[in-house]
Parts: sequence; C-alpha cells; structure tokens
Amino acid sequence: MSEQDRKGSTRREALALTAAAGVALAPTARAEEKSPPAPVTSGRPPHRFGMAIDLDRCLRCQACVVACAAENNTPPLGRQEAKRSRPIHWMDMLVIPAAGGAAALGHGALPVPCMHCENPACVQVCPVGATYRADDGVVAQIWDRCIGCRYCMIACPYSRRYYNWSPPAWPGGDPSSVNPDVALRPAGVVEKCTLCHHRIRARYERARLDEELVADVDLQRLPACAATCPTEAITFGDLADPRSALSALAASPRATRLLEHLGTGPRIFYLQGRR
Amino acid sequence: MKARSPVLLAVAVTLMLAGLAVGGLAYFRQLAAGDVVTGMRSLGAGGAVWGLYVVMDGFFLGAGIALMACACIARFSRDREMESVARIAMPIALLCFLAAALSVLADQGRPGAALVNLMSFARPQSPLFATFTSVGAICLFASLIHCVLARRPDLAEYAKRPSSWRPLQRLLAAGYRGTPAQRRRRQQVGFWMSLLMLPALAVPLAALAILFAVRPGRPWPLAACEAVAFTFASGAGGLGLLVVAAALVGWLAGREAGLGVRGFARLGRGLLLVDALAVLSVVVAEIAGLAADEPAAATCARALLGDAYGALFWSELGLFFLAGFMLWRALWRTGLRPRVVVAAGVMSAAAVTLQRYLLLVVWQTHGLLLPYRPGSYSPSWVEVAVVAGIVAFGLLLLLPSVRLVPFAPAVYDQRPVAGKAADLRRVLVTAAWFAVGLAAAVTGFLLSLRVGTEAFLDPVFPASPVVFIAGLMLLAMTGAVYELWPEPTGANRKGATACDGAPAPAEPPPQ
Repeated sequence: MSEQDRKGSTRREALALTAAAGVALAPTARAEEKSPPAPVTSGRPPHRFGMAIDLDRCLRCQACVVACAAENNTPPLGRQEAKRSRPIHWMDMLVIPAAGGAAALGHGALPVPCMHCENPACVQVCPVGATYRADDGVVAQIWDRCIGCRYCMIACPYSRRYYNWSPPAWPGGDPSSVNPDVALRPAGVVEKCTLCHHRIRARYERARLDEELVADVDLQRLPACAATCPTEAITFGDLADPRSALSALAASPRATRLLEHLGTGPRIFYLQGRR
Repeated sequence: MKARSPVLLAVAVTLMLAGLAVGGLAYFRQLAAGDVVTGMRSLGAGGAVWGLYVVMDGFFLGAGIALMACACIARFSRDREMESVARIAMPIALLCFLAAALSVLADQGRPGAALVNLMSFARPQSPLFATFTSVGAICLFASLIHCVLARRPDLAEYAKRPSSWRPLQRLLAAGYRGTPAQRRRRQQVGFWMSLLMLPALAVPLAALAILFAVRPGRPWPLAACEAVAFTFASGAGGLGLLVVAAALVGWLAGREAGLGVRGFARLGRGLLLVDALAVLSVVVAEIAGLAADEPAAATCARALLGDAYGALFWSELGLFFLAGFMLWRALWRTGLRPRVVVAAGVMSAAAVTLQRYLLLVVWQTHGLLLPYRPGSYSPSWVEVAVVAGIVAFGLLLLLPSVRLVPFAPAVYDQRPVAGKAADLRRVLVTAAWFAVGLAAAVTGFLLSLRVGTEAFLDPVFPASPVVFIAGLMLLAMTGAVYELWPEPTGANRKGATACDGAPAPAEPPPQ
C-alpha cells in the first residue's frame, strides 16, 4: 500500500468514524435538547446539599452569624432598626427557653439557617416563582423577580426568610466592603440563606476546569458559616453521596431535624447526645 | 336629584379630598423609604409581616363578595325592595373590590414589579393566583358588566334628561329601546349571570379564607373553624356596609334612591342572622384553638384571652353581640327601624375588621412554631393614612357613580316577558364567544400551570396569566354579547317603549 493509499484510507476511516459517531450521538443530542437544563453545579447530579450542626460542639459564639452576614452582604442594622425588630440574619441564633419550646434540642441557643426543605412551603406559595428548589436541592431566591408579597415568610414554618424593609445602607454610605460574588438586594424583596451557593458553584467550576472531582472533604467547610466555626460544629455536604460525612452524620442516632412532623423534609440536621 | 345639604356635602367632599391627599403622600413616602415606615416587623423578631393592608384587603374583598352575592340573590326575587337592595349593593361591591385591590397593591414591596411579574409568571399553585385573577376578572370586570347590564333601562331613561353625564349614559344604554324581546333577553341574562356569579365568587372567597386561616402546623379542624368564621364574618361585613351605604345613598341622592323601611328591615333580619353565625363561629374557633394539641395554636388562643389581645377580642365579640342584641330587641319590640339597622351595621363592620386583624396578626406574633419571643404589631400612621386614602377614594368615586347611574329607578319592570326564542345568529355568536373565552381561559390556566415545561421554569408563553384573565373576561362578557347583539333589521322598532318616546311600563309609587 502506497503512502497515498494509506493517507486516503486514513482519511476515509476518519470520515467514516465521524459519520458513525454523528449517527450514534444524534439521538443523544436530541435527548439532551429535550431534557431540563443541567444543574448549576456540574459533577455528579443530582446533588442534595445539606448541613449538620453538632450542638455538643457549638460554643454559641455566633461566629457563623457574623461570617454569614459578611459573606452574603446582609446590611448592618443601625441601633434604631435593631430596636424596631427588623433584622436580616440568614443564619440566626434561636434562643430556646429552659422550659417548653424545642425541648428536645436542649436549652441555650441554636444556630438556625434556612432548612432547604425537600418540600418547601415557601416555594409552593410564591405567586411568581421567585423562589424555587434548584436541582442540587438548594432552595433559591430570584431577587429580581420577587414582588415583596411576603407570602413565603408567612408559609415558612421556621420563619427563616427575611424582608428588606429599607434600601441597603452601609456605614458611612461606603459599600466597598461588600462581597462582589453576592448581589446586593434592593428594598422590597425577600431574601434567605443560599447555603453559600456562589461558593459551591465556584468550587465545582474550578473542579471542572482542573478536570477533577470535588471530594467530600472539600465540601465539608465550604459555606462561610462552616468555614468560620472554630469547633467545626457545622458540616456541609451532599446527602446524595452515601459516603459523605454528612450522610453518615444524618444517619446517626444523634441526628434530629426541626419540626420534622410537618413533612417539609428539612435538610439541616442537628446532632445532640452521646457519641 | 338633590343632595340633602349642599354644605354638608361640600364638607364631606373636602374631607374626602384631604384624606385622599394625605393617603397619597403617605404612600409616596412608603415607596421612597421602603416598608420601614410601616409598623410591620420581621417574623420571629417580634413582629408581623402582614399588617393593616392585608387586614383591609380581607375586609373589603370579603364584604364585596358578600355584597355581590347578596345582589345576585336579590335579583332572583321579583320583589321591588330586593331590586333596590341589588341596585345599591352592586356599585358598593365594585368599590369594595377596588379598595381591596388597592390595599393589596399598597402592601407589595415592589408594586410595579408585582403588576408586571404577576401578569408574566403567576403560578396557579399559589393561593394568590386565585385571588388576583378572580379579583380582576370576576369581581371587578364581571361585576361591572353585571351592574351595567342590570341598569341599562334606567340609563336609557336618564339619557333622555339634560345632564353632563348624558353622552356616557347614552353610550352605555346604546341600542336599548325596551322592546319585549330586549326586556326578555335582559331578564334571561340577569338570571343566568346572577346564577353563575355565585359559584364564581366562591373562588376568591375560598382563596382568601385559605390565606387567612391556613398556617403551617395549624391543626386542620382549627383552620376549618377559622375559615368558616372568616366566611360568616364576610357576610356580616358585607351586610353591615350595605346598610350604611344605603343610608348614605338616601342622604346623598334622596329617599327615593335609598331603601325603604321594609328594605332596611329585611337587611336587618339578614344582618341578625349572619351576626349570630359569626359570633358562634368565632367562639367555636376559639374553643378549638384552646383545645388544640399544637402548642402554637393553643398559645394563640390564650393570647386572644390574655393581656396581649384580650381587649380587642372581647371588643370584637361585644360589638357582634351588641349589634345582634339591638336588632333582636328592635325586632320584637318596635320593629327594625332604619336607624337601629344602620347602627348595627356600623358595629358589625367594626367587629369584622377586628376579626380580620386578630385572625391575621395574633398568629404572627404569638403562634410561630419555633420558640421565638412573642411580639406585637400596631399599624404606623403611614398605613392608617394609606387606608384612609383608599376609603376616601372609594367614597369620592361614589359621587360620580351616583350621577352617572342614579340609584333611584327610572324604569321598574320585573314582570316576566313572554316571547319567542332568540334568533339563531345571536345564539351562534354567543356560543362562539363563550367557546373562545373558555378556550382562552383553559389554555391560559394550563400554560400558567407550566404544562409543557418544567415546574420551576417560566411558562412557554410568557404572558399566560394574561391569557387566563382575558379568557375569564370573555366568559364574563358572554351575557353582554347575547343581550347587545343587534336585532335583525326591522325587528328593533317593534314594541319599543322606553327610549323612543313611548310610555314606560307602569312604575309603582316610591316608598
């Protein structure tokens, strides 16, 4: 076989292979066109992100509350507005009275973010679809679509949504300290914890560019609250991954969830009791 | 038609204009500074996120639905007093629906975005979808059509008298000549619209009852009791407003335009019944709350009896009871005089406002499921001023509506008119109109439901809720098409009575 023939053969083979690949991939491409859009966190969909908070480790130092506020640009309240009970705390400390209340969780204070429910009541009642449950399980909010009716706040059994009562203001009117990764929300919209979705997204995007998988250990301290906790009481992870630390903690007999009887399926687990 | 006292009327109009101006200024302040100027607070931090605006929305919408239902039922009877009730109830219901829409718009954090986004992305899964579509299409539009069709003979008669409203009166009464065929069609349309409006009005009422009574974690028996109490209170609020409005109309437009003594007596008996039912249902809901297993529900029920809300709760029950007692006493002793009925109506309306307030607010300040500290809510001057502005706006609109379609009947003719069946073309056009409306409504609803796309994505057609509302409006206009479609040539002069100089049907003497 001459060099010319070999080249021709190679070219023919390449064309044939391309055509065969095209035919073989055609139905896949059509199927992809019909399928819903890929989740924002590429990798091993579908994810079910959640969080576990170990109350035996928690010092109630509120570092998570401060870190969350700084990371997510929740505007600081002046003394006047604090007095008027209009705070915005995506992560808040719920003070449990010594008697009654959520007695199963002991007394003292309890870090409470959005529960990112499996069946979120807030999503069901939103009249314009401004809040939705993303493919990765995060209950997200589209600030720009929110009309400020506050029905989601009424429907949320955990009262974990906050309304912007006034335009965001910064000390001295200088917003230079804001996190550029998180949008500022205008007055008249409801906002909530996103499980630091921008951090999750950035981590998966970096993994995609580096062509590597995101390990569970990379996720565990990803949200600002988990990264800041001095005792590592907060563990973030993917409940869809049975080998993740979060899955193990969620399956532990120490795990409990808030208002589980309502059937909302909260994905924030509280750990308490003997190890 | 002359007002009783021009000076008093001028003072009243000045007050209304002042109320409207203050309300407008307060609303602009709220728009500029945000809802921080209201008395509302964050849930869990000791406040309520739904306050006076939603309370008044519940009051106006419930009362408007009750008034419209009352007008529809009144139109079934061929009684002159009931016809007067319907004549007054319809425009007052329209004003109530308008006030409800304005109240809920004032509550939105971003009213401009609310108007655009609701029309673009509204989801039927949310109870708000039922309220805003039905308020727009059924309550406001269908009620307006029903109201205008019912008053066309009067409009045709008034259009013959010199008035600055004459061009509009002529336009609205265009084509009406009072022929037997027209009168027959009008009676048919009136009957069917009244019949179909009743179930249609149940949709916004049910959505509103869900909005006020159903809460996460609240036991279903308690929620059901509160929904029932909400419904009965709507009736009490509607009838209360009706008697007050009837007295106002009598003062504004002369006695012949208002209700007679018999009409007030009938409304008084109805008010006594719904007051009794409202008191009973409120008490049953309170007992159900106290007996509830859910600690938050029991805490709410105890808060109603305790220091936090005890005064308001007992005032609500006291007003209901006093109104009922006055009516009952007058019924057995002197007969239901208009003054007694109006006083009872005012008390009932006040009691219903308190009932809405307590039903909405107490749960938010004392009934949260997690152990947040209890809070309180009291409306700020901005909220009070905005609501006062809305009320003033409604009352100001009453004046031109009194001039446009006077409450006093010019033509009274409820005798059944025999005649041959409608011409085929009219029936076909009406059927086609109905089919198009139904198709648009169903298509718009399915598209809004995200049929053909994923549940969390936008509808395939971006303005699907508009298609749904347009479909409902077309359906509401079906009666108008049947009634207003031109008669075959040559038939429209036959038997004319009202508008062409021929004598009108005999009118009973005014009360």
